Order: sequence, then C-alpha cells, then structure tokens
Amino acid sequence: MSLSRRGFVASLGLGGGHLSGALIAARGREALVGEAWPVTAEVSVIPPPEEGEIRISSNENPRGPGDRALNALRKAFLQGGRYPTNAEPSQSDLRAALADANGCESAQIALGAGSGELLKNGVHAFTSKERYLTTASPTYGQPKRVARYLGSGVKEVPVDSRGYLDLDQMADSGRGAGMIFVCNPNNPTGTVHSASDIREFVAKVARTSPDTVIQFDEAYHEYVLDRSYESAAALALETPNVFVTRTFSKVYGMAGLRVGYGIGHKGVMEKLRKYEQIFNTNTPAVAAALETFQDKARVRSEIRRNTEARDFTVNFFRNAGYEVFDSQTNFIFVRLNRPAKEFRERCAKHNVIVPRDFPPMEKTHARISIGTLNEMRRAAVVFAEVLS
Amino acid sequence: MIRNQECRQHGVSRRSFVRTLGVSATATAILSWNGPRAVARGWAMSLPESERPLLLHNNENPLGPGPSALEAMNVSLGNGRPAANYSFNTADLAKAISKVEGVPAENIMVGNGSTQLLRTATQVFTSGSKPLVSGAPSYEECVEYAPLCDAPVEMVPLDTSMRLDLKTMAYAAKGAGMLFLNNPNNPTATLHSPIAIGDCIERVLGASDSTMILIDEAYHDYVTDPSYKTELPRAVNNKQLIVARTFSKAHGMAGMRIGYVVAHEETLEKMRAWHYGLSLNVPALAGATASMLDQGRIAKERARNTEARDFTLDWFRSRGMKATNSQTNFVFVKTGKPAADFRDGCAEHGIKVGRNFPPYEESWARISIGTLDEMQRAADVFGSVLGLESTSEAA
Repeated sequence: MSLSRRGFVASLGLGGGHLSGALIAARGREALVGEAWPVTAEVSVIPPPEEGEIRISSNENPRGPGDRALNALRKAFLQGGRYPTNAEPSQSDLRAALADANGCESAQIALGAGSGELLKNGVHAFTSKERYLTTASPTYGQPKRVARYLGSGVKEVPVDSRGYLDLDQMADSGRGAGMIFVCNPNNPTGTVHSASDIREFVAKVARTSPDTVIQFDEAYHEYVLDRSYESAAALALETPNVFVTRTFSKVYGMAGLRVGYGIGHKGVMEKLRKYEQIFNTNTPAVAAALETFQDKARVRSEIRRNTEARDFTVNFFRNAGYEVFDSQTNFIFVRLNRPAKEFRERCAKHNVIVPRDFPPMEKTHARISIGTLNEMRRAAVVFAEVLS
Repeated sequence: MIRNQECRQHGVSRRSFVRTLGVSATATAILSWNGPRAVARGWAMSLPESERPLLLHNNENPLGPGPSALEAMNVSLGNGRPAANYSFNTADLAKAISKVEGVPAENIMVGNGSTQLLRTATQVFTSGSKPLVSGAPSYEECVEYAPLCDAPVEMVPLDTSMRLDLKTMAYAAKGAGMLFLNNPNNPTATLHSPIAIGDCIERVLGASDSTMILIDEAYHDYVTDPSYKTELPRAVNNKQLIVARTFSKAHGMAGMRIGYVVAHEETLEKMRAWHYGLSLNVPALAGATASMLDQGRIAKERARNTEARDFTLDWFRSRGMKATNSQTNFVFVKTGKPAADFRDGCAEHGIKVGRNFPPYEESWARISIGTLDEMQRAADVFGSVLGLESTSEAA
C-alpha cells in the first residue's frame, strides 16, 4: 500500500468513487479491507490543517481513535448488516470485557449509544413526579432536562467558589430524592473529588437516604492526574443503589461512534437495564471499543498529549491574570470577568469555536475544550487579541 | 460448545435472549478472557463460508451494506478525527431521503434504528391514561416499551387469515394514545392494501383528534405485491400519522443503527422534546446517505430476496406445509412442530431460526431469508429436522 490514507481519501473524493466497488466486485469484500483500507499498515494521524476553524467547543478528542480502532472499524463495516448482538465481536463480548476489567458480571454492565443514553435512562428509571433529582449547578445538564420532561422535581446545589461540587450539601438536598447526579470530574468546572470525599458522600447518603440512587458520571475519568482521585466503580459494585457511567467519547476519541457504559451494583443495574434499548451500540463501534480498550499505549499517549496542551492553555490564562479552576479533564473553566457570549462571538470571528453558556456562571466564566497543542497555541493568539 | 449454548437461548424472548447471552454463553467464552487473545477465540467469521452458522433468526440482510455504503462509511472516518466529533448533522441524509421518497426534508427525523423512534413515539404519545394498541403477534418494540411509560397495552389478535385485524384495532384505538401498525407485519410477513390501511386510518381519525397512528414499514423495500403503497406521503400532512422506516433490512445496515420517521412537523417537534439526539454515529449517517441514493442496489436486493424467498416458500409448500404470503425477508411457515423443537433441531445443525410467536408457537416458525445458497443449505436441514427426507447432513 504505497498510497497514504489521506491521498487515498482525496482520490476517492475526486471521482474515484467506483474504486472500492470495483475492488469488491473483482476481489471479494475482504479486498476492501485488506488493500484499500490497510488493516495492518502504520498510518500516522495527520495533523489538522494550519488554516481553518479550531473547534474547541464540545470536549472532543482532537486526534480521534487510534489506528487499531480505525482498522477494527473498517473490518467491522463488512459485518454492518448484522445486529450488534450477532456480529463478531458482539455487544455481549464488549459487555463481558468491561465486566472482566472491573471484576463484575456482564449483567452489571449497561451499554449505551454514548453514556448520554445511560444518563437519560437513569433519570427515567429513578426519578418521577414523587421522587426528584438532585444535581449540581453548573454541571452536565442532560439529567436536569430529562427530569423536567418527565415532570420530576429538580434540586440544584451550586458549586463552591473554586468550582468544586458541594458534596455535603448535595447529600443533604438528596434526602428523599430519587437520584443524585454527581459528575466527577465535573463538567464544566473541570474539578475532581478525592476517593475519600466520594466514599464519605456515599456513606452519608446511604445513612440518611438509603433508597436514593447515586449516579457518578465519570466521562473524563481517564484524564484525571490528581492522585487522590479514584473511580467510584469499585465502590458502586459493593454499594446498593450506586452506579457509574463511562464513555468512549473522550480519551478514546470515539464521540462520533457512540459507545458508553454503566457499571454498578446488581439491583440498580437490573432496574437501569430495563430501559436499555436492545440494539443501541453499533457493530463497528463495538469492535473499535473492544480494540481501543486494550490499547493502553494509546490511552497513555492521549493523556500526555492532553496534559501538555492543557498546561499550556492554563498557563496562558494564568499568566494573563485570569483565574482558572483546577482542570482534571480535557477542558478548562476560566474566569474571564466578562460574558461568555461576548468572548464566544469575538473568538468565532477568528475561526475559534468555544462553547455555549454555562449558567449561572455565564456572565463571568467560559469553558474552553483542549485541542492539540498546535491548535491551543493558535487559539491563544486569538484569545490574547479578543481579551486585550 | 459456545455455538450450541447460544443457539439454545432462543427459547426465550428476544429481549431476554440478549440479556441472557450477556451472562451465560459469553461468560463461558470469556472465562479465559485476558485481553485480545480472547477476541481471537474460534469465531464463526474465521470459518469457510459454507461452514458458518446460518443466522436466519433476526431478519437481517445476509449481504450487509452495499459497496457505495461501505465506501462512504470508510471515507467518513477521514484521518480519524471525524470519528471523534459528535454527529449532529442529519441534513445530508434527510436530503437524500427527501430526494428518493419525495417527502420534504423537514418532515424527516433520524434515529438509532427505527427502534429508537418507536420508543420515542411510545414515550411521547402513550401514558397511564392513554394506552397503546398493537396487533398480536406483531413487532414488539412499542409493546415492550409501553410499561416503562406506565401505559396500558391492548393487544388485538390477528384475524383468521393471520393478518392484522384492522377493523378491531381501529375500534380498540378509541381513547388510545397510539395505534401501532406493522405493514408488512412481523412475524406473519403479511401485507395490507392501501385501501385497508386507509380505511383503518380514517376510522381512527374519525373517532379522535389525538390518537396517533404509527405505521412501521421496516420491510417496505421487500414488498413485491403491486397493490402496495407506502403511507409516507400521507404522514407529511397528517398530525396523527407517523411512518417509520429502517436501514436495517434491505439496506443491510442493521449493525449500523439508523432509521427514520416521516411525520408532520408539529409531531416531530413533540418527539424531539424527549428524543435523545446524540444516538447517531458518523459512519452510519454517511453510509445511509450513500445507500439511499443507490436505489439500483435496493432493486437488486429485492430481486435477490424474492428469488430466495420463492425457493423457500416452494420448498415448504411442495411438502404440504402452509406458509403465509410473505412480502418481507422472512417467511412464516406452519411446520406442524412446536417452534422450540424446530429451533432446537435446526440449532443442532448450526442454523438459527426465529423465536416463539405466541399464540402460533405450537406449530408455526419464522425463518429469515438468507442468500439462495444459504436457503438451499438450510432446506436440507429443515427436511432432516422435520423428518421429511434423509439428507447427507442427517446421515
């Protein structure tokens, strides 16, 4: 395979549209994978172009999945006609691999088209008109929106002045709640709570409101560097009414492929999985997730990459005199002392796309996702101009 | 070992089948899981095609996505980065559907298979005081989801010709939140004429201005009856009508998870208030768009299916067994044997066939249509399982 992937894509785009069709016809379907889309070739990820839009708005991984995952995807496309239960690997294989990695049974793993689906199912399963949702403000907003649709009450507990969840207040507010939603690290503030904070919180809720379910959203789990942090997954496995959600959208770079999972105590997972759509993940994404889950080197290099670009960005703002919350994620939350909207609109004029408002802090703070170091350097030039 | 265990799971319902697989069959396979090596266990895909288990149990398209869809899916990955971006953009697909089906793009809503849209409609339009009405047996998604919305379910048995009893269903729909019609109907494979469907719609509309009608046309592309007509155009202008389609069947993309509904804009607005929009993946959107525009491949797929279907129907009928007039990619056959026994017998030979469909599970079986080669191979097994003829495989 002498053609680089980029060159190949380009030639396909320029009217080479019948190439792969002809290949399949002439050589069988495996030819498509074996030749046109090399399964084994080392294809380095092409850096984004120097010009053009910098999209740092949705906490996406700027590199995408690694070559191992991409190759698994391309192979699995050939099985695209099989439901994820019938393909090889199947969604049961993914469930089993995740269960094995966490030392639990497959029945304790929920799958979703991204963890967003599981967040939604959690609110559906555990809140109602009689049993409200406790959440933070600001935090990931989907559970609140789902609760509102269902007519479930919502209690919001403000984060503290450094952007940390007020876990003590959340436990108090959650007395009698159907569910407490805890995003750790928290989106959009980027802050993380220690394992001991989390254990104390879980114990308090179990003591004061034993029927209340706790959902930990650990979408940014892998990016955390703070050594006091620990996933709540092990705690969830041994504590009734606790579950954790994770995603392949962030460190694994698969937001466009839609795989997330939940893990927790047997009883709570049984209730949650009643809401699980039978086929929600897709056949190629299941194959890619299984592959990338094993690709520890890729995860390590992605964490390094993110840390470097994040440190650069945090330093840029701090050196310019702005307060930045402690970020343990692939985004930062900065006190710009001006409306996020104004900052966003001015950045957009320079082709730098930063996120929406995060009320109630939208008058003073903005969230910025971490792109590649190269992108953050270019973005910093724009930030400097916009803020001057 | 593993294969037999998985096959035996088919005595249970579709849903519990998947759930059970998660803990039993796969658990066996994974007992020795220690990373990628377990992935390399003895999978069927590594067997020569003639020895692979035949999957004739989920009405999948045996050929998978077509070349244009595969190409679009591969191209959609670009240098990898597009796979890391959330996929909000359904505009190209809606445009392609609009072009082919002649309905405005703004009346189209895309979902994670039609399954997700069926669930969304059930959530939005049924409740504790607004029941769901469905045929029995018919496709179960809405019926299984309704209890999660606390909605009562009214099941109307099929008529004596094993077709949806549209008159009784329309009557039962008085005061209901939603009436679910599967046309052609799964599992009976039977079709209703546009006159019969139109009459049912008129009756429901005449009785209520709020009861929704959801018509699932999943098998639309496989219909060969010239009297058939889709209800897509009517759904554009009627606030009470929703028509669902999928890329899982003729388009060969069941594993990609993509389908759509056509409905009035106000109806879609109500659905969007609940619908989880981030359920679509980048390759599926690209593949479905390409596949939609490649209608030549759909025509070929219909012809291929018809040939294999005719072979299968002839095989059963010429041996004195009744089969319904299939307008889908599966057949519903009176083997005279309990479906569970037939299924287990086939499983012994590496062939999976459909689950139980009460109240017909004592003598009827649903068999999905594979390739002609596969159906010829399967017919030998059917003969042996039904004790009709000795075959080389039985010897």
